[in-house]
Amino acid sequence: MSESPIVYLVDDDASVLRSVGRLIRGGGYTVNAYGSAREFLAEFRRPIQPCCLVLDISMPGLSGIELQRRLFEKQLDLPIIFITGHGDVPTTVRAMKSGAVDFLTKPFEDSDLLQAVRQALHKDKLARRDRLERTQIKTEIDSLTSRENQVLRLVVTGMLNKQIAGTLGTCEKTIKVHRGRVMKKMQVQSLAELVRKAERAGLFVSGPVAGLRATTSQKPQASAM
Amino acid sequence: MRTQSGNGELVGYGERASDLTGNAPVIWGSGPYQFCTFFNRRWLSFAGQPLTELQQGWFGEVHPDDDSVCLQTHRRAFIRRQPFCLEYRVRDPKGGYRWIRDEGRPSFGPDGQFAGYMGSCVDITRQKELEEDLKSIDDELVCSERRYRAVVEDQTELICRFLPDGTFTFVNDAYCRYFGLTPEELMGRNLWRLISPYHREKAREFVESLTAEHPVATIEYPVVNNGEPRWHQWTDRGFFDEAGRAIEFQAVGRDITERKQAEEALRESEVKFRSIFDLNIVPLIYWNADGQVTDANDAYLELVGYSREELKRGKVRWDRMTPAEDRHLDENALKELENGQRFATPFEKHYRRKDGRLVPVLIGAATFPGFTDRGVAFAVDMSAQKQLESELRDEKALNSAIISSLSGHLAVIDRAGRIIAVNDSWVQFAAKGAGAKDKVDVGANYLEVCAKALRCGETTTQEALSGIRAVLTGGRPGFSMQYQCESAPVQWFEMRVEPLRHHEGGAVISHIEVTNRIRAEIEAENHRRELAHVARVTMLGELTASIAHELNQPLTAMLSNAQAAQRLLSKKKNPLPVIRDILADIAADGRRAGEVIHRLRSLLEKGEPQKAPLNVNALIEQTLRLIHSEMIIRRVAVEKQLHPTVPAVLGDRVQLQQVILNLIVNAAEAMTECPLPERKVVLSTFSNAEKVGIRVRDFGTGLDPTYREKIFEPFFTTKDHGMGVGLWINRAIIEAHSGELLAVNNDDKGCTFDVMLPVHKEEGV
Repeated sequence: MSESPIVYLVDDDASVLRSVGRLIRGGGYTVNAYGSAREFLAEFRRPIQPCCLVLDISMPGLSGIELQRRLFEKQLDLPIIFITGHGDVPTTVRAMKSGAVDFLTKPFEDSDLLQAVRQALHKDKLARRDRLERTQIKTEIDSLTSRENQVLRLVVTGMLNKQIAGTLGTCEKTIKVHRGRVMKKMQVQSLAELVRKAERAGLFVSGPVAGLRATTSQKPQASAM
Repeated sequence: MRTQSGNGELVGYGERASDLTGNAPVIWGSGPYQFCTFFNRRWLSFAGQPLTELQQGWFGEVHPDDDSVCLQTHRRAFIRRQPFCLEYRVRDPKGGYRWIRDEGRPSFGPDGQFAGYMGSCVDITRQKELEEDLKSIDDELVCSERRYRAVVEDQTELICRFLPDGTFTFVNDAYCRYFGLTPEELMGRNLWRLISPYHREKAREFVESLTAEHPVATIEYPVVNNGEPRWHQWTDRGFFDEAGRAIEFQAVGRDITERKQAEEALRESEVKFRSIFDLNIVPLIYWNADGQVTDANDAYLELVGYSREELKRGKVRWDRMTPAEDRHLDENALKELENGQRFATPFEKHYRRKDGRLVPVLIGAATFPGFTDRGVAFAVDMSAQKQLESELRDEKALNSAIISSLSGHLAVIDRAGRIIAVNDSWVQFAAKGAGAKDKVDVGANYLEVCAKALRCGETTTQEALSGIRAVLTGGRPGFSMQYQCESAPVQWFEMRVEPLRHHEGGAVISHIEVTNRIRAEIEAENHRRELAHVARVTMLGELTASIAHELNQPLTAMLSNAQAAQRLLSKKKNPLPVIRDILADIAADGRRAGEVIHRLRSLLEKGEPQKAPLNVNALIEQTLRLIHSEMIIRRVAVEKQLHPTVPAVLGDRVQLQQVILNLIVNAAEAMTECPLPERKVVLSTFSNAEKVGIRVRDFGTGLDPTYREKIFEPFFTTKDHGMGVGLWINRAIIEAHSGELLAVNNDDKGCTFDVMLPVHKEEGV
């Protein structure tokens, strides 16, 4: 069953841990149960197969919310289904904002939990694919020369070759060669495709084009006015 | 006897008699010794010798044949104080010898003391021839001697004569008898040996003090005779020669022991009385029936305000100092004394002092022995006494007024439990209980009527009786108890037993109705209990979330288990072994949920407090289970440092749990602002021989010094929510357990609450 997804379960209540574990196992998943957040944090390594975390919020020592934060800090983000005995609104909001898949109040129906687990695993599968793609794009970008990189960053902003040549102080023909090499290295056929990859690579988060993004984001604000 | 007394004319030196043959006799006299002290002229003319020579004795002129008999006769006569008559021949200066008859008679002073001899010498040369005629004279002389001797011997007084060296020359029968010796044993012996060495010197000195000028003196001194102390009185007379030298002494003594003892006793009693008199403790006087105070001590003078000078001048008169209305008292007393009573019955009267002030006095008078109109008297100042009596009377009146005005039932009992005083309230109260047949007031035995009078059960009566006995025997300094009176409506009384500060012991017992107080106490207790309950419920209300969580856990587990089982049943071929485990888990979780409910219910219930021996460690564990979730929610760590062997305390489980719960929640709340790692409550237990302590320590902000004193007051709170009764209720609960609740700020962070409870001691240990 090494291929079956793994559901990690953390709850300080032994009784809950045992029964919920049984339930999830009944759903056909491998269950790794832990009595405390600290124990889990110490042992957790991301497995090959999809996984998710069913996490109790109220625990002595490290609480569920804190564990979520720690995982995020460690970039070990995996889908989390919170289970809690008392679901107060601020905690729920904080948990969901931090990317929780679901928030179940004890006691819960088995179908709700298994549904949430399924969703979480699916989410993990997507995230896993996304992570893979981004790694590939990063590899492609890394293969670009610095000039090609410069050209790429300007191309995706929608500049014409002539404008780019002006900006970089070279001739349009040279830019055209660089651009062709970039398209090839990035394994794209169209500009639209290139732009999507550049965005996936997060090139828009920082860099000289940030100002442009700000301008574009003003638009919906203006329309709202 | 034809003696012729001399004319008394003394002869001088050198005078001579012209004729011895004449009719005139020779007259001589002697001292107590045998030497002549005088002669008349006739003797000189007869003897023809000067006086000095004659005093050496006339033996030279005596006829040698008569010499010895003459000397013996004289000596014997002198020793025996006997008259003598001797005839002998004396040489006639004219030649030849002449017969003379020498007669001597002892002479005695007016007091009967021997003074010597008076004698005469008569020429009997012619008469010798007429012996027949003289024969009768001799017979007479013998008779006289016998008579005299009898007189002396029959004397009861002790008579002796002795020479200056102490040699006895004479002792009478009485003397011999007194000393238990025969005359033969005494004669020739030394007087001084008979006198004890102690007095010998004194006696000797006394004898030596006698002189020719003062030949007689009397002395009294103690002697020891046959080992018995006696007093003697001796009157001694000395006999002296011309030159003033002592010749012989005569001592007449008598035993005066009895008189002396009487005198001694009298003197002693006089001294004693005088010392009492002069001690001035009691005013004393010598009085007479005329109204005179003949003597008085300073105390008396001070009492009546007169000076000693005035006393001497006779200004102090008891009759005049007595006011008219008291005169009859004096008269009565005088009458008693006149009727022969030695002591008048003491009586109280007044004296008017010199300054006019009246003084109450107690008079006791006695007469001198043998008198009815004079004697001694004492006069005791009764002012202070009267004052005291008056004060006592007032105080007694006040006390009885107070006692009778008390609404409480009061009875004073003596050592044996007999009632010696009661107030009206007691009589009415006790009579109601005891009925008419038993006496319940003065004279009755309290211990006997107690049961009926109190109208209460056997146990209460026994407790009351043993309390009273303990106070009566000094076993307890006081005793008090409350009891319920079997009446309708029910009445509560408080009985107090105080020892009576009285030399004979006893106790004061009071019963005060305290029904209202008891009711108020019960009401207050009820209120407090209700408030404690409200606080408990409120607190649990605040803990709802965590309690829900406590219930949620088992419920979650049960639900999940059940659903897991359902899935197993629909899928697996042989799910039974797992199903068995699941069911066991479900049962366990059901019980767990039940326990939560049970704990909650016990805290929510409004039951009567029930005290039982409790282990504080177990109590803390149970409490922690209740707020386990709360602590998780509050992100507060709980650290336990429980002493493994703490003694049990006696208490109500729910109330003590409430206190511990409240203190832990307070501790958690105090740390809301603290960073997570610091949020910690440390619970510890400790104990000594007397107390068990529960300590709740937090690391929060500590107590605000401004509110330090206020935290235990009701409705004081620094929180936005809550009633502010938590700590107040806590303290009330702990105090109802005879314990203490203390709060101190820690040196570093937060504060510590200590619950101190007395160690539960098994009955009889």
